[in-house]
Amino acid sequence: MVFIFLSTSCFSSESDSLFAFADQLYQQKQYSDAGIAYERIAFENTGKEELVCIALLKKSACLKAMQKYEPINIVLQRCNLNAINDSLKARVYFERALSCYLSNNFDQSKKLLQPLLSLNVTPEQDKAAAFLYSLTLNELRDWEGSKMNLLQYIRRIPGADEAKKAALTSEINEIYSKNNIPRLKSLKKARLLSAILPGMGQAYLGKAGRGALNLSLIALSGVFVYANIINEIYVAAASGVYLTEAFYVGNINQNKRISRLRNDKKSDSANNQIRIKLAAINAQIK
Amino acid sequence: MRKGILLSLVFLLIVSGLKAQLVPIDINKESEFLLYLNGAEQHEDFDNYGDKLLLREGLTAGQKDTLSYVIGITNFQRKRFEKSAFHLSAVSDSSIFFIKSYFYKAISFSELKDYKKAFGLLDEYELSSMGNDINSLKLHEQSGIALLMRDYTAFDTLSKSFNATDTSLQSEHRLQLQYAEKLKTLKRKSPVVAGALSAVIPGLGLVYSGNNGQALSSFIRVAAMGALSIESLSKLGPTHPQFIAFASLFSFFYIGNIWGSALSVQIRQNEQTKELDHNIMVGLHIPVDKLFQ
Repeated sequence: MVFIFLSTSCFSSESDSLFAFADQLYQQKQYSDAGIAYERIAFENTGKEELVCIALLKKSACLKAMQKYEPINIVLQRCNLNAINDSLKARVYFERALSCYLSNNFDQSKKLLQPLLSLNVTPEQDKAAAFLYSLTLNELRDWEGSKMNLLQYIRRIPGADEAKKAALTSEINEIYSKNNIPRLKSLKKARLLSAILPGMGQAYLGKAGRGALNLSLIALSGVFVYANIINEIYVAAASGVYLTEAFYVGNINQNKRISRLRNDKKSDSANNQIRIKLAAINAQIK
Repeated sequence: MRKGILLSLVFLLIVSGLKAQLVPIDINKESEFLLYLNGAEQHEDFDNYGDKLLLREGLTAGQKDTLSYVIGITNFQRKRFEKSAFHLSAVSDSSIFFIKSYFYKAISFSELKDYKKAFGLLDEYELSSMGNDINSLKLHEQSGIALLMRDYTAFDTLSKSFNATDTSLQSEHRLQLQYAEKLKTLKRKSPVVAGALSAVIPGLGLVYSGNNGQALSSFIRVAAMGALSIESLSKLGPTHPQFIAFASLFSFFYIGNIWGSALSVQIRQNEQTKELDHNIMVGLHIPVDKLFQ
């Protein structure tokens, strides 16, 4: 039906009819067809930048409903930001940032949210952007920056009394208190420790067993070298030195993977808790 | 009352359906919209909308040809050759897009490695009345496909008939002749000889197959393990675990070197023919792209 409607020229110049038709498809959860209908509106109205932008924002809503987050950024890149008002521009930046956040592209999400701060936006847009920015910073492990951003937002909430602001500030401080922020292990420190004593870096990262295994392997290969030198078997001793060196370097490099896994696990766990608490705070702010 | 409403609804549906069917489709606009979707990288929308448009009732044969051509060429540009072959095959010989579709569908089938089909498609139409260059292009494409099929007799016959006046087509065909010579003279090396050479001197079989860099590293690995084994044998004796471990490792590396050399002959030959096939395919694309740009 959508194809007959779209390819029927009697309606094509009336963007209102097409919008109504596309919206109807969206409400009927026919997101793929609705997406094409919104694309048709953008196509029919080339040059009318605001209209194109609204159509593309609605197309991105269809993609979001289909949980296709990555293409949203591509779709909204076609909005001419120089030709639209601040409110629409803020929506485009926000939707692009949200799609990047949902597809785990946090650096890009942060970059897209930064221009929003200088735009003249509605209180709702300001709130959504502030929370998304903090969630993004959490994922980038900048918990201090995330906290400062939320505290700044609370100070500028329009219409909120001082007592309410003080209560929210206190809640934010509690969420980002030392107890709730994971203590991440330093890779540099782990590598240094493993260089001083094989296995110590692994033990520092909480993998004492793996550390002991590394130490044993290096010790055994050292014994092999020593025994061959004593027995004047020099080629074997040389190969033993090569083996020991390989174990030693491997022992240092192994820390990279262990620390990444450990820190990711701790961060994810903490961020999940923070996300739930921030959602509760978000609900309190009208 | 309810019956009245139902009847009205049915009437409205019929009227709107009829209206939609009666309103003629603007094929140029639909093609533009399809190209717009493709340009905007909305490939899924392009596929859905294109397929549904083709199924729309009331399309004239000319409209179907135009849509098939637009969808086929777009898929060709996206290197989706199965779809391009399918849609370009649907363009009828009365269409203004036929000649272009004719060449591009042949290339699509070649890309799908269905060389027989591609060759047969080009054979279906006599193009000598369409000018010397179009006919020569057909011969060039067919001779290239014959080369991909390793049918050197067909290649020689078609090449002899080739007499293009267009200089770029001439130069492309000269390249094709060079590839044919290379394919014919490609030395058939024996995996058995490569294995035997590596058994005598580790790595020599890899030199024979043309992998000089790998040959040196293979020789060093086997020689080092051999030296370790000999040293352990002379100092510790044949029953010492260290000798047994090193001798086992030596045997493993030595047999691996023979096996690897035998395999490398096949791999090297595959690489060479693959590279030549790729060049031949490029030579099929370029003159068609130039002519229909």
